[in-house]
Amino acid sequence: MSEKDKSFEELMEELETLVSKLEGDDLKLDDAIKQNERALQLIHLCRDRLDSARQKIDKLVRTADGDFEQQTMD
Amino acid sequence: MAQSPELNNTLSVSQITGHIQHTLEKGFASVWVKGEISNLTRHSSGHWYFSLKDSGAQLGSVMFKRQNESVRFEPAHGMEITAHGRISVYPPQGRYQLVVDQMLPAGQGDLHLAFENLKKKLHSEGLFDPTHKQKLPAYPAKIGIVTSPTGAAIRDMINILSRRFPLAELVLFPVKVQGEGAATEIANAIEAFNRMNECQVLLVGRGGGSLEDLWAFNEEIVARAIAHSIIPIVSAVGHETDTTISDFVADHRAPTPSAAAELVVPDHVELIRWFGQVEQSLQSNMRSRIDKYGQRLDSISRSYALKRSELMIEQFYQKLDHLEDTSLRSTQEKISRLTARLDNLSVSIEALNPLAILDKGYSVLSGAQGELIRSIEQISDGTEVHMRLRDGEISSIASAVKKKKNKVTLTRGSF
Repeated sequence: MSEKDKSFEELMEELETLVSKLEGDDLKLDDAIKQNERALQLIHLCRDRLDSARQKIDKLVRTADGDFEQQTMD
Repeated sequence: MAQSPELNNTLSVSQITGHIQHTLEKGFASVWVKGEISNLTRHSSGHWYFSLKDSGAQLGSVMFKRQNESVRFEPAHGMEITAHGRISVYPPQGRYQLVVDQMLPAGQGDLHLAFENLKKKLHSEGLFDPTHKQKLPAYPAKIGIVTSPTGAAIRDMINILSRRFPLAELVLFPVKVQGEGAATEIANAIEAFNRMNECQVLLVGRGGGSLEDLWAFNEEIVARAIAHSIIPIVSAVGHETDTTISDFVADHRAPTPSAAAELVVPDHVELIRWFGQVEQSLQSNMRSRIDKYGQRLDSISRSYALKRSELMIEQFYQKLDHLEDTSLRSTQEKISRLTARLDNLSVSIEALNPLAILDKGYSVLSGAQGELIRSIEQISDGTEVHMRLRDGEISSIASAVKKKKNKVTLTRGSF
């Protein structure tokens, strides 16, 4: 799954897991460096997402067959 | 048959009144009573005195100041009400009365009873069970909203959700939130969101209103739709003080629609601030980690283990030097020893050289065939002999050959 397909929640979960791992002591230096890099990358990604977010608002509308479909508002 | 008084079973008036008081007050400690108000007196103390009556009976009632201050309507003579309270017995007058703590107009009173009954029923079915409550997602990508498309509630929710967490997509399901069919629409909307199953959380609610206005959220069909939802639901009905059945069944209850919006999303400003903090702590964490390894490297490089190998190398060098010296010295000694021996030998050889004897003035005598003449026995008169001197030869004929009487001992051992 590419980074773009991941939800904000998935990215945040990964970040939170990494941070708590990095706060512990039992980590090899090479791993720590790699995970630190990844954590910074995740922060960057999440920040970008938040910065560029514009709320999308849909409305559910009943269709002829009795089901619903989403229509984007404004 | 009339009984005669028995001493043991006869009660005083106070005693029997005490029993009646105990029985009534215990048996009717919390009751709802429906009736019509009559003879209402508002005393200067603030207490209300009145009777509740219907076609067959009446019940003296009192509502003290502290309780009647929260009554939101104006009770009047002839008004149908539903009252809640307890029966109290007043022994000095042998009277009992209803001490009212809550009073509702009859219609509302019915709703209230319906509310209490449904609450009891759903509670006993376990619909309010805390173990059924679902956790809210930390960062919902899509939020479903079931409420009226007009009104303050939807505006407030959209405003707050946009300000706090614009990343979340909102899906509105416009429904009637009061009046005929509202409950069914709300329940259907919740079910539709569950069929769609795209939202991670649902906000279900409306703004404030009267008990009747909020009634849809007290309907069983709504309560059951909320209970069956696999998507976590936040109930947000009315103001802080309003409580509905939906609030009890929902996974989370928010006092207002605005509060519900704040509950379901994080504030992105705080998130971004958190990112900054994490970045800093990660950096300082890495620095201290690297420092720690550096210190470990330093201490290892100073350690005995490494020092020891250095020492060993030095020792090898010393040993090599020593070996080199020794071998050099012993070789030289050998050479000088050999040289000395050679010198000795050459002296000896010099000494043994027969020609060297000639140098000293001796001569060597040999026969005609060149054989060395060592004994007189080899010669007689007339024998040809040759004498060799240091610097020439003489050939002559022997004469007057005489043998020594004594055995010659003068000659050297080998002669």
